[in-house]
Amino acid sequence: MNSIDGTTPNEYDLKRILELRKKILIASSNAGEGHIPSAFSILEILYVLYIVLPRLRDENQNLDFDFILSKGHGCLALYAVLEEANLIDQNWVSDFCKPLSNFGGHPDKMKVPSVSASTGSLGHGLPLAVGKAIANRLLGQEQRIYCLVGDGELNEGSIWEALLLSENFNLKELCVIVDFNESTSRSIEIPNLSAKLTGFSFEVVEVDGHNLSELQRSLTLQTQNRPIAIIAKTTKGKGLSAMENSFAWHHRSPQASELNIFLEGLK
Amino acid sequence: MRKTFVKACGTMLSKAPNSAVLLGDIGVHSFSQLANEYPDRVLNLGIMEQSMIGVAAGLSSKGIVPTVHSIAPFLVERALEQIKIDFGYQKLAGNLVSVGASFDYASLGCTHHCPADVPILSNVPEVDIFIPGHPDEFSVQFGHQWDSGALNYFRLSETSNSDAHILKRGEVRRLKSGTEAIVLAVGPILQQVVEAMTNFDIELHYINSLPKNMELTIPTQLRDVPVITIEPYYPGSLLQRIVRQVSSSHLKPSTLGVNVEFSRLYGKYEDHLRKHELDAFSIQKRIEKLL
Repeated sequence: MNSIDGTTPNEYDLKRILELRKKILIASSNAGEGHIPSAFSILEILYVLYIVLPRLRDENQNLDFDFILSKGHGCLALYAVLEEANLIDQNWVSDFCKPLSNFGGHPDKMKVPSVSASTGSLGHGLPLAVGKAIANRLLGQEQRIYCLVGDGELNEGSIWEALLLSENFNLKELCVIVDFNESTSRSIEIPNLSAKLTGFSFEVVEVDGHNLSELQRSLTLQTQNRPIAIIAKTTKGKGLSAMENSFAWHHRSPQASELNIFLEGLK
Repeated sequence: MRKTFVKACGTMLSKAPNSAVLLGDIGVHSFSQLANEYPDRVLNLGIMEQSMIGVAAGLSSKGIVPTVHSIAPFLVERALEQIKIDFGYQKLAGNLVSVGASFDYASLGCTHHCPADVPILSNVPEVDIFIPGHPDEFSVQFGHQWDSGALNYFRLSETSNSDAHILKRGEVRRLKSGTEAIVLAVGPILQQVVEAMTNFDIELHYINSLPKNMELTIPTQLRDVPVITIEPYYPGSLLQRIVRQVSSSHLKPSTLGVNVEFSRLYGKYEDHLRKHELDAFSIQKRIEKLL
């Protein structure tokens, strides 16, 4: 195992991410609830944001950030990473979706203080992120605002309204991360997304959304006066061949009899 | 009331650096001076109501109290889910200030009418509703409430009662004594109700706010008489808040308000009042029938 003090993401991180995938499977199986493929799709993105970047930061770097998971149904990944970052307790795994749990099928900031916004209905997160960025300017606070949206979520008109606002306000503090896991392949596709976002004056980078080094570089990108968009090419259900790119698993949980097989099948 | 609103915003902006005004491309000319004075805090976000509410919630989450202004149907109905989730569910503070409800834009057709705003927002948890009947009422309400920590909805009207009644939040005030029945009038419909009441021995009460999670108390000794609520929007929101007293005092409730139908005529505000039998003459006849 490599040291966790390394300057780049390493083998240790990959092992930890594998453990987080196991926790996600167990939590979902226990509850009979959850969107596992969406969580697996975004897990590396959240891991780099919450675990790798703070660990690798230069003492002089201001890495204060606010993060909105606009596609709230991916919250299993958020809970797993928040626990890894010691921001929530490990009991989320056993509590997930129980009646009095703080950890539901979509994140509730009133119950989990380290969650920045309660999301679930799609298309809400990016306008909120724009408001947060504008507020920080009024308050004189320097903070990067990250907002993770899904490619399916890009069908929502409010996303494009917020992109327009981001352009008009030159929100260089804003980084929109698109979890491009091809959800739109079954609905209304978003062709030439990079060109569309460039047209909204975004600095656009395309990365492998499961590659920690590429994510690390893109998530620390800075511009003079343009908002940033990271198009993260991802795979729904990444890490478990039975779920990868299977729409049947979008909102399905493993039966107890399937769980061990899936845990062993994770890679 | 619109002029009073601009003035109230000027006071707010000058006193509170943590305040901001978001315009949905409405009232831009009226706010031009304030926009010049506070270019960072008076923002015209254009015609994108749902995102405007989302942006306002983002501001609020960081401690900036937003005041969002647009025409009632666009502010309330188009952006309802944003109001519900971005503000209500997350218990964020702010102010929504509408113009144009119920049919103040009478001749512009049903797309610009909004008699459902109060009933809709009555069913969004965490919203305090204010229905001023006079510019002075709005001025006091906004001055007291804009930074209350709740989501406030202020319903500005084109018409005004002749007299202002400065009420506390949730107060029901008796304006006239009587014995045969109780009439409760809400906001700007009071003018028509007062004109309709001249020959009745009826107790008249006035209300201009419907606070969240609060039952209202009618200051009356009357029992076993009719109680008639008269609201300038789809009826029923007020009765929800007095139903316990209505039951315990054996009052016989009736609710008058805008009929739940598309008001397809054009013309003036007064034409719509007559269509919905909310003009003084019609109210008088309806009360006579109910007594």
